[in-house]
This record gives sequence, C-alpha cells and structure tokens, in this order.
Amino acid sequence: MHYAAKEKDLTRIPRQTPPSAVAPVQFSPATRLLHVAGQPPKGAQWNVEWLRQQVSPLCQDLRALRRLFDESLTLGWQHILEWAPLSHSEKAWRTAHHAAATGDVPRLRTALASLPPQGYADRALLVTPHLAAVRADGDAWRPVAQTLVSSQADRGLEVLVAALGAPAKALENAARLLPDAAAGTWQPVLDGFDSGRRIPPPPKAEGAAHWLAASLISSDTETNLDARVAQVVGAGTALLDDLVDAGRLTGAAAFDQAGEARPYLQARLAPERLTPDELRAVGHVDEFARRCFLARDRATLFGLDPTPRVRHYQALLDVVEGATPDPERLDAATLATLALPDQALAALKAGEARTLPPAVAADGSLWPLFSELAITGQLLPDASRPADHPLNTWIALKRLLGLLWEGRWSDAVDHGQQLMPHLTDERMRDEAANLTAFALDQLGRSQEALSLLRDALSGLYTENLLVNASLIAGKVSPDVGVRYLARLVDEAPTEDLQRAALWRALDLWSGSGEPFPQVLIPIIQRFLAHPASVADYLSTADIAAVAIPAEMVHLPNPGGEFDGPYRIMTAAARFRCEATYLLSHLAAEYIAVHKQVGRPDWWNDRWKEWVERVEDSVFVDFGEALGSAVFIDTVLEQAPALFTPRQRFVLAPQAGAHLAANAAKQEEWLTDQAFQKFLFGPADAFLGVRGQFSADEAAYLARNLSTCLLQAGFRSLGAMRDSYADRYNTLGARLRQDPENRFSLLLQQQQILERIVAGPLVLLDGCLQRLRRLGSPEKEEGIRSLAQGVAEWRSEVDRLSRN
Amino acid sequence: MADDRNPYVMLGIPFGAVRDVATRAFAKRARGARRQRGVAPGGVPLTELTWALNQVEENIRDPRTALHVFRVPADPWALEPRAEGVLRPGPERLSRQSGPSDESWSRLLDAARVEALHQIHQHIAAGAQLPAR
Repeated sequence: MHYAAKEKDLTRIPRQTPPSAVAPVQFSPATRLLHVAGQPPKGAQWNVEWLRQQVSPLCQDLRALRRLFDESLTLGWQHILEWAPLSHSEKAWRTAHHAAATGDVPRLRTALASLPPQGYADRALLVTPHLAAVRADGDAWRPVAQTLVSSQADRGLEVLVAALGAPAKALENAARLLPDAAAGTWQPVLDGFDSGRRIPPPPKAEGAAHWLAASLISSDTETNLDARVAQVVGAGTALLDDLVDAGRLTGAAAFDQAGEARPYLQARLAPERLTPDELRAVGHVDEFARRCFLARDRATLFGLDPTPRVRHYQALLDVVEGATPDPERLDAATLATLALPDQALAALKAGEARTLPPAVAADGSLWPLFSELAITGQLLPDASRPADHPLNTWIALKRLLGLLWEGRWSDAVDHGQQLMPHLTDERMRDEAANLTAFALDQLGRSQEALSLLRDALSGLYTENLLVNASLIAGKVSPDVGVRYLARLVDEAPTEDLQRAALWRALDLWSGSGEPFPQVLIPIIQRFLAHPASVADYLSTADIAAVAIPAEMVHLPNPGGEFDGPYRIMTAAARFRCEATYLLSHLAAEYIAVHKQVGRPDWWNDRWKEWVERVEDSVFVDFGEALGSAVFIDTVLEQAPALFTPRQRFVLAPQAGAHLAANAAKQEEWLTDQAFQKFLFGPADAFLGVRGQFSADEAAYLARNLSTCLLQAGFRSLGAMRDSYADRYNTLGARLRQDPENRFSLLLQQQQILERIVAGPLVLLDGCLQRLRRLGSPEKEEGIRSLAQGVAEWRSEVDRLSRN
Repeated sequence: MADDRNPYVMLGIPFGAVRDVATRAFAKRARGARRQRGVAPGGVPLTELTWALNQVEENIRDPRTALHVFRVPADPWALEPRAEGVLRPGPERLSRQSGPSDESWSRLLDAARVEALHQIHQHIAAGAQLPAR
C-alpha cells in the first residue's frame, strides 16, 4: 500500500513504487485497505475509519467490487458479503463457485439452492468435482440436484443421475460426464457390469473388494482361483459353491485365507484336513463316518446319524468284518466292486488264475485281500503291466517277505536284487533292501547286508531300519555297531528305546576288547545327568564307573533319590582313576550313604560286590593286602554290623595278619587294641557261635583264624623280641661303660623285663590260648612252634630277671 | 555267541506280532511240520518252532526295545498299497449346502457398482474444470 498526502487518486498506484507489505499483496486495493484498517501495524498512528471510508469510492468500479466480494469469501468477511452492493443471484453464483473451487460442498449446496430457477446454465458443472460427496449426502442434495434439471442447466440431468441415481444408471451417466477418451476406458466396466461377465478389475483395489471379487468370479471360467481365496471369500457361500462346483477352487486352495469360511470350504474341497471338531461344526458327518470306517471304530460309526453315506460305511464295515454285502445300505458301485474279489480269490486258490482280473487290479484297496496269495507266490505279477507298476511291485515285495518266511535265503536275495531297481517309492525301496539284507545276513553275508542297509538309511528311514542296521553292523564290527547304536540313541523316539540302544551298545563294547567308544561318552553323560530312574542310573553308572571313570567323576549330582547312587558310583569311579583315593575312602563313602539311606537293594548289591572283591584280595602273602586291610579296618571301626559274622571271622583276622606282617617289616607290632579288634575279638566271638556253622564252614573259619593268629603271633614275637632285646642289650653295653650309673641302668633293664612279662608275653599267651581253643589240626605244628618261641623268650626273661 | 535265529521269521509273522498271532502261526506251521516228518515250512524243525513261540510269547516282552531281533518287515506301511478304492475310501467331500447364487451375484454386482461409481466419481473430479465465474 502506498499512500501520500498530495496524491489524490487512491485507486491508482504509481508503477514505480512497490506496494507495502503491510497487507497481503495478492489482494485488491479495497481488500487491502480493509485489511489494514482491521489490523493496523503496531505503533502506526493510522486513521482506521478514514481508511475504511476510502473503500466505497473504490468499489464504484464493478470489477473492484466483485473482486472484493470474491476475496471476502476467501477471508470469511461475512459483513462485506452482506454489504457488497451486488445482486442476490450474483452473490449466490459467486459463493457457489467459490465453494465448488474450495471443496466446501455444504456451502455449494446452499449457494446453488439460492440461485434463481432459471439462468446460470453452467451451475451443474460446479457439482461435477463433488459427485462422491453429493452421493454421500444424497437426501440433502436431492432437491438442489433436481433444480439442476428443472433450470435446464447444461449436463444437469447427467449430473443428477450420476450423483444420486441407482448404481447402474449412475455409472452410465457418470461415464458421460467424462471426456470421450476417458469414457472409453470405463466402457468395458459398464459392459461387464451389464452382462455380468468379464468385469475388468478395479484400477484401484482399495475400497473395491466387491468389485475385485466380482471381477475374479466373472473372469474366464477356466481361471483357477485357489490363490485368490482371500479376494473371493466375501462373495458369500452360494458363489463360493459355484466356484467349487466349477472346479475353479480346488483342494489346493489357500484355505488359510478363507477366514470364517475355511471349515466349510475345506469340507467341500479337502475334508481330510479338518479336525473332528471342525467336521462336527460344519455338520459333515459323512467324512467322520469314513474316518470311523478306516479306523474300524464300530462303536462310534454306528452311533452317528444314519445318513445314506453313514449307512454305507456301516455296511462296509460289516463286510470287512465278514458279513455279506448289504444291497440296501451299500452304494451300487461299491456293491458291484465287492463282488469281484470272491471270484478272483477262488480262481487263484484253485490255480485257475495266477494274476488279478483287471477290475480288481484297478482298485488298490482290494489288493490286501490277496496279500496271503502274494506272499505264498500263488498270485504273480501281471506280465501285461510294467514291472514298476504299483500292483506288480506290491506283489513282488510281498513275495520277498514270503521267501523269508519260507527260509529261502538265496531265492530271497535274488528276488530282492531284481526287485529293487523297479521301486521308485523310497519306503518300498528301503523295505526291499531291509528284507534282502536279512536274507544276506542269514547267508553269512553280513557285510553286503550292511551295505544295503546303509544305502537305505540315506534319506528318510524308519527307526526299525536303524535298529536292523545296528544289529548287522554289530556283527560286522563291534565298533561300527556301536556307532549305529549311538545314532539310534540320539534318534529313538522313546526313552525305553534309547536305554535299550545304549545298553546294547555297552554290551557290544564289553565283549569287543576295543577301547571304549568315544561316541558313547556324551550319551552316557546325558543319561547320567538326567536319569529316568534309580535302576537306569545305576545300570549305566556301573559301566561308566569302569569304562569312563574320569568323566564320571565330573558329572553333576542329580540330587533327590539319585544322591546316594551318585555318591557310591562316584566313589567307585574315583577309586578307579585317582591314585590317592583308597579303598578306605570308598568304604567310608559307602558307610556314609548307608547311614543316610539304610540298605536298599541297589546299595546292598554293590556293597556285597566290594566286600567279595576285598575277600578275594586278602588271600595273598601277608603284608601285601594293606589296602584291603584298611578297608576292613574302616568298616570294623565305623559300621561293623555291615559285615556278616562269617565275613567278620574271615576278614578281620586277615586284616590283622596283614597289618602285623607289615608292621614287623618296620620292627613294629600291633597294639593290644588292634589284636583285640582284628584277632582276639573275632576269635572269641567265633568260639561262642561255632556251633552255628556247618562243620566244614566252622573248620574253615577256625583254620583262617588260626592262620592269622599264628601269623600275627610269629611276626609280633619276632619284632617284639628283637626290639626288646635291642633296648635291653643297649642298657647292658652302657652298664659296662658307665659303672657310676649301674644301679639306674640295672633298674631300667629290670623294668624292660617286667614290661615283657606284662605285655608281649601276655599278648602271645592270648594268641596261644585262642589257637589251642580253636583247635585247628592243620595248625598244631605252627602252634607248637609259636609256643616254643614264646617259652624260650619267657625262659630268657626269667633267667635275666634272676641275674 | 550271537543267536541269529529270528522267532518272528521262523513263525512266518511280522515282527512285533502279538501272542495270539504267534500262537495261530505256530499251530499252522506245526500242522505242516507233522506232515513233513517234524520239519515246518522253511526247514524249521518243530523244536525250533516251539522255541520261537516261546520267544514271542514269553521272552520278548517289549518288541520295541528288543534290539537283538532283526525287524522283518521294518516298515509294514511299505508293504500295504496306498491306493484309494472301495475298502480304502477317499475323503467325503461335503455336498453343496447353498441354493442358487443369483441373488448373491446380484448383491455382489450392486456392491461392486457402488465401488466402481466411487472410483468414476474420483476420475471425474480429477479432470473437472469449473465454469467461468
């Protein structure tokens, strides 16, 4: 805005002066004046009223007035719209035009309604950009739209119908509102909707689900719609049924896209995939009846609603179970087919035929009726069909089984080797290999059998096949067998089979003399870390403690009921692999577990084994079984009741004799308490219960006790006599060199002699006394000898004492 | 010493067959053996048949874990034909449950036309030109 006092004419702005930026420059001068009058710049001392007064002169120009009106529509200056000195109809037209341009559809409708009934021939064209909005608000628009026709506006009728007409007519009229080229693109759509055939797909899929469904359904009747289930499923059950009936939806349809219609659609196309609950939900009892028939579930089948198909399956089950076919219930085709096998069976059994008649051969479900004849060779492959025809391969495989059952190993091998190249089904080929391998193994050709089984194990295979491979492999080489069994452990579906495979692998190894198979170590560790039962745990641990003690020692304690077994088995493993872990440690651990759990069978059995092992080990040269002696000592000290009386009478004196012999090597002897524990106590106890043993057993025990007493007596006598003599003689030597202490030295010598009398000689007398009471005849010579030795020592002591 | 005898094969029954089957098979083979001077089909002496029956009846308590017996057959499924027929009927497809589709088709077309109309309205709007003011 440019203003200067000396310029009079405000409608003209000098070209050389740019307009002020105080008001938006795109507006007319009048609008700008009113704008700054309403919002003068801050701090400006402008005469606002005067500025407003200048607008009227400007608006003397009709063009300026119209421009001010139009700009007031934009700016929302309602007072100017009312003030503007324009006709009512022009105001309505200009308002409608502005509303059409700005998308203000309600205002457009109001403004159009204000137009006079005649004139304004272009009024309908203001509506064309807003047909969708007009249709959406049809009730409000209908009177206004009708005036488009009554005013004879250009394209008024087309616009009215395109906006508010029935869909078909609306489409037709809307197309007429398009330029010719654009209308041409819509003509196929209109034609498709009219004819209901080959409706083109919508240009934009969004918001056009029904159009797309109609397009797909109306497309070429050969078109498969399996992948378009999601697009057609909303069309409704009847139309989906049409597609199913026409084969345009098949069992390969994308059922997962069918939403709530999936069970019904699957019941129509792939009922075998429905769950029983889904079958029930869609009321498809016939499929349920079929499954009951296949499962031979008579109770359920005969409890179903008796539809014709249910009755058919009931009758069919009767036939399978031996009844005569019932023409009332069976369908005609089945009835006719069921009549075929009887004739064929009779002909084959009579030797009048060797192959199946074509009608029977055509129905694979009838073949099992001829299974026995195929096995025995009465039914032969059909030479008119290829060797790899399913009927011929089935008969040949059955015959291979029959040859095995007849024990014709060589024939079976030949038959199997001829058959296998014709088998394309992997499972049949694997089975043929399996049967042939059995025959080969029976002929002693285990290596060839294993080779066949190894081939069969590539690809898919059954657990049974792996079992067979491990069985044959074990014959070829224990090491190879163990590897297959380890694989079986890994793949076995049940714990029972895993266990069986592991134990068989261990059996195989234990008889092989081979180093322990490394492949089994992780399996054993897994079993022991997560045992199924105490019995399983111990069975495996018994082997692990021997075969892999170092690994066993590091396994975790499974705890709970496995704590005791774990501790005794770990003790066994440590004894085997740790040099510093002795039999005494093992005995102590067993005793500790016993105090915790008592004597359950698993503990007792293993304890018994250890005691027997110790018993075997003590009958060596005395002094050589110190480890066993310490084991025995540990038990006698901590839990003597764990030995039976017999074990005590055998083991305790043996331990004493070994310890005495070992002590004698260091010129030492057992203490009085040791004699009591190992020798005198058991001997006295035995003498008290001797009558409870058989004569032979009593004689054996007496002999054992006597042997040990003699050993301990002799070894102790020697060690004691030498030791006391050394000390006595040492004092005698000092006596000769140290006469000043004569009295003291003599006194010490006398004390030694007294100690001998009160100690060793009493101990030895105890030996002799018990030896005599035991009365073992084989030991009389030894007893006399010991007695003589003791008597000589006593005599010497007496003599020295008197001196 | 491994025992290569297979009681199931000796009796002519599938691996894992139950006692009743074994007993029937034994009786059948024993009859044959009596006619053949004590030797059953496959050259199996009657005493061996008795052993085999005892194995199946008493010794092999759980065939699934009997890893010392070769499994003949290993895969019984492979010995059975899988083809469909009267005794192994295929799935029962549900018959059409709906009536004629004319009404559904008509409704679908109407709904489709409405959607088409919406798109043609957008098309018209995109190319529309307002008349002069």
